[in-house]
Amino acid sequence: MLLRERLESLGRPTPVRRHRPDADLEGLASSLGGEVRENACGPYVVVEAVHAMPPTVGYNAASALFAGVAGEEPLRESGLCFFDTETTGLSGGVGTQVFLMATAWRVPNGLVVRQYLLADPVLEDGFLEAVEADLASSCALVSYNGRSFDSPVLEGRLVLSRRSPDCLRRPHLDLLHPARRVFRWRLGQCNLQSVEAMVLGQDRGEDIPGYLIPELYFAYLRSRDPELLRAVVAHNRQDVVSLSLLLDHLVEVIAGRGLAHPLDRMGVGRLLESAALMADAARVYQALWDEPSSAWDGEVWPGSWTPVELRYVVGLRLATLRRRAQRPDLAQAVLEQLWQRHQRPWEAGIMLAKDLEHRRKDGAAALEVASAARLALDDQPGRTPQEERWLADLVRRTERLRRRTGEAA
Amino acid sequence: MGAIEILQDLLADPDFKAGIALDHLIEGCPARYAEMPEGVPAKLREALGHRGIERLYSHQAEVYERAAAGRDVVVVTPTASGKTLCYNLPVLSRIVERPDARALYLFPTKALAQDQLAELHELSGHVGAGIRTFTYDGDTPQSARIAIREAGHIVITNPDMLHAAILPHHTKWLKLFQDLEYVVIDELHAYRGVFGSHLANVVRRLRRICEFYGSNPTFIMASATIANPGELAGRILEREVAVVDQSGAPAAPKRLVFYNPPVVNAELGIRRSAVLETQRLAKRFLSGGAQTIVFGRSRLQVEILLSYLKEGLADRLGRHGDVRGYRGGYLPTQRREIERGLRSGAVRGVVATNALELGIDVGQMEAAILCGYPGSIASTWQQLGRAGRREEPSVGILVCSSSPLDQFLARHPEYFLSRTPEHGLVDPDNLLVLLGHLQASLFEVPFNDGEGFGDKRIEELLELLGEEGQAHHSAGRWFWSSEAFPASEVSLRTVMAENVVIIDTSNAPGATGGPGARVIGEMDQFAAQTLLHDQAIYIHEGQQYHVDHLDWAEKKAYVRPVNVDYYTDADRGASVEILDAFDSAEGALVKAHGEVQVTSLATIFKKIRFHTHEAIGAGPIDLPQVDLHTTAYWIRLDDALAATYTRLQLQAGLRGLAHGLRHSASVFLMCDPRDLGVAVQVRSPKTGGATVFVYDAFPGGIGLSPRLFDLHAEVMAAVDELIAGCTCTRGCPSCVGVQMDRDVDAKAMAVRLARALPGEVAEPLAAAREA
Repeated sequence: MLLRERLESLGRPTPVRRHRPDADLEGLASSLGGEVRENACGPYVVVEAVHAMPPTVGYNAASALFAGVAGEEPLRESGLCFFDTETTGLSGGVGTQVFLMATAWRVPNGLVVRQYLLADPVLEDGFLEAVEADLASSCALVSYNGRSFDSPVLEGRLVLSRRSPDCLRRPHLDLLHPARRVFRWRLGQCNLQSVEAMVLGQDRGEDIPGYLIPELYFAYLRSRDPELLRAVVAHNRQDVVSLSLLLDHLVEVIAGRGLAHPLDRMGVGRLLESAALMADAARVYQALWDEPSSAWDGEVWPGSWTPVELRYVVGLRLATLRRRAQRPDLAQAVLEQLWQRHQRPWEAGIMLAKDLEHRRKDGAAALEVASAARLALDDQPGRTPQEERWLADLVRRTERLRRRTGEAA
Repeated sequence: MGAIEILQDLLADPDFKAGIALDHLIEGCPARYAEMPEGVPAKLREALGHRGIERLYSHQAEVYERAAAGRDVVVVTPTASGKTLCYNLPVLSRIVERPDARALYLFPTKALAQDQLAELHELSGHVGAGIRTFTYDGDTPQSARIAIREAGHIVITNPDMLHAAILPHHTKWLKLFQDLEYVVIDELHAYRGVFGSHLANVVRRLRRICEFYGSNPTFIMASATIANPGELAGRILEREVAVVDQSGAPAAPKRLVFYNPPVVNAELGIRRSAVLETQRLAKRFLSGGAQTIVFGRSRLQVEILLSYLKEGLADRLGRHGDVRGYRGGYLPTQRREIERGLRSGAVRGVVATNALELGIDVGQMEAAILCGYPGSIASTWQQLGRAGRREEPSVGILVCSSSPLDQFLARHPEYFLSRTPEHGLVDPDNLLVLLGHLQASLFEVPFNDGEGFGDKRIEELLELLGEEGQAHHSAGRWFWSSEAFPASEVSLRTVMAENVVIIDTSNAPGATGGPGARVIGEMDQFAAQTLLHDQAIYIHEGQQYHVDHLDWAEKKAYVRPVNVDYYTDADRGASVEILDAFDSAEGALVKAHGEVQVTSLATIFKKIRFHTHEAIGAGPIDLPQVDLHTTAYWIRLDDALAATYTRLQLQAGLRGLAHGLRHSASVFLMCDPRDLGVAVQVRSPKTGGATVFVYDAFPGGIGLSPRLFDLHAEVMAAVDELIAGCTCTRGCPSCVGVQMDRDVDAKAMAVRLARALPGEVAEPLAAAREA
């Protein structure tokens, strides 16, 4: 029996037969506006272009972004390498190949984008040699989710080709994490496409969804039709351009310059907190706190967010930071306002009751706040799990305060 | 009172004495020691000294010498003979000597890996050379994984994790693979059948990756007593493996007793419940002060025995905390606590499933009581091995249940004593298993032209993958060329192709489950037809589940736990077509093995009450026909012999023979009877005569039937014993299976066939050899 028949009889479904013609590097390069180059390890296709950009913003003020990433050296703008890969699979693993790699470098008023293209899996050596050399000339890497995906996949291929992965071992700023901290309040999901559309105001027009990319590449390998890769190359280029724009944008909003949605500004405060820059974070919150709500007219508020809700959350953060900064008086002023003005001020009430009890030693006042919060929350139908926890806290607190004030009396 | 005195007391009771089927003294033997080998570094020597180990048992030294010299070795010694030191010694010695060296330990379960971790931590803590040991499994937090990859000297994991998480990401494990000097595979006997066939292929992949990084690790394997450790190890490793099977550990004498409870229903061959008898005996030993381990066959049995014992002992011992249960499903911390209690003696008794059969250290008990035959000779010895103190003789008791195998052993205890334990069988070249791992291996490292996969030639398979577009050939090499992640397509515990997923909906609303539905297992399509049809009772880890619905299109079975007093047995109308006979021997009968196509259609199922085996209900099964391409062993009867039966008699005889064959073959092959399928044909179109088929119930086969072909005569003799020796009168569900026609004496027919078969083939074969 033939092997195929045997496998069929064992119940294995048979995939479609596929034929693969040889690669045509010149044809591929010329249709995509690139060229064929050659290094010691073989030929590769590269598409190079300069993308017009606004002037550079300078990255010195961006310390919160680089916290825990950069070394002692100040980062040279021109030494930052923005990069993004397209791969033959989305699950990772050694057998997943990088077939398209974009690196992008800032120049005054522009971005030099180089895209390396693997015309055929067997030409990987020349491809990796070129990519490696390019990455090695950088002082730091900038990516979007590159720490978890692009970098490990590329590293796997380098090691499998018996190359050193040192070109990836340098400061690596993965913008996914700060972007998530800043924009999640407004965007929820923070993939590069949504940040691009909602934050940078970029319109990709016709774009291909990422999950189709591996299949397009395999379709190209079977047909050798360069047109199949045109959209993939454009997608990949747009990714690094957006990366560069996003970095600039983040630097600006962290520095308090430029326009930003008040929710994003609160997000900046959270980012600064996570970088342990508490004073800076407090400044951001204080500015939002002091602003009249009328300043936010015309903004779009997603989901359940409202100016009132934002003010409440900002107030809680501000009070927390003020208290930690040994300014309980300032914290108290904020909490009193939250407690009096907000409709569901449970958390503020708890904080206020703690402050009254422990700092100001005013058990009676603490009891008054706590029991008012408890009664109101108890009456509220449909409590969230968080509200249940607060209620439990308030119950314990009022019981204890009652005992204590009773004893005192 | 010591265990032996308690046994003497029991024997004074004539009722108990009447049930004794075997009373056998296994002589003790003194320890044989060897000096600590020269090569063991001073630091390690001191650390061992702290634990009171100044010299080694002879087998430990033997393994050390071979492993240190870079020879692959498999050690086969009884429970509690210091097996772990056999591999820890050469591995730790090497790491002390060369701190860059790395080792990989494989255990079949996570619990065993945790045990080993604790042991190694203690030992390496004393060595103090900064030896870092980690377990790496599904529970390992993401944050710890990087440190393990970079810095772990010894990585302890399981084959599933190695297969799906380590090998496909081998570049992250550069340090491990570059300097991998030892691979330890403990509990080798656990890797048989499908699991073993997969493991052999995982090892092929592992070795290719090692080769890529320029390392060539030595394999040290350890196994419980099985008949063919060298063969099994050699099959998995595909090179010759030295066998060390002479234990130097001392053994105290042991009284081995088989106890058969008295008959309560002679016609049906029913005896007094083994559970109740076990409980009674255990109570005697425990209240007499002997530390005792009781083995039950299922979780359910363990829980029943445990509650009886706690009840019965509460008043006598005042507290019942010192009898504990131990089975899968207990939390790891709970298990650790019980193990410690057993070692220290604070826990006086434990009731366990075979979860305690594998190498978990609980020290040695004074008595071991087995509630029913554990299903294989190897397991029986493992469980009995839990009893055995150095100072005093210990007692091991097997309480026989009414099942046919137990009764067979009760009548023929000498069979148990004289037989070597079962064979561990694997078939690494099962086409589906092989192909799945070949894809994974290609994903991991490209293949060069002419390169093999283990000792298997694979050009044809690679060509096939190439045609399908999953592989790409260029410049003398094959590359992976697909977006799939092939390791995720292969589960080590089953054969590929689409399996039926078993879903417990008890915690989920709605029949098809919502959130809360839990996948408890999977099963191949072929077996699912008779085990997971609508209304079937499916038994999973000792728990009964009712199948509410089998969604064949989606390959999902929705089940919920129940507690009923019956099981279900489905009839499969199977027709077998012989595709290719590999080998045959002809005499008055023909025995052969080869490839077959089994076309099967599940027809009806019966509900059968436990113990009495009466049918209490039945129903139709409505499922499409399935095809199974597998390997089979078959016997064609001599026409003259067949002619002495009426058609009905022949049918009943063949069916009875097939039933007995399936059960006794499972003993010889160390497999579950459900791993084998049987079919009978009164007149086979292919062989031209009455034929009985026994086939591997897995696509492609897993090596069971060729072995049956070799063991033909022995298996037939056992079938004869099994059926003829059954205490029933005209055949019962346990010896000849459920028979359609009660007018035919199926028992007599089957026995006649079984007796006619072995002798007649043996002679012509022997004659042919002489000629």
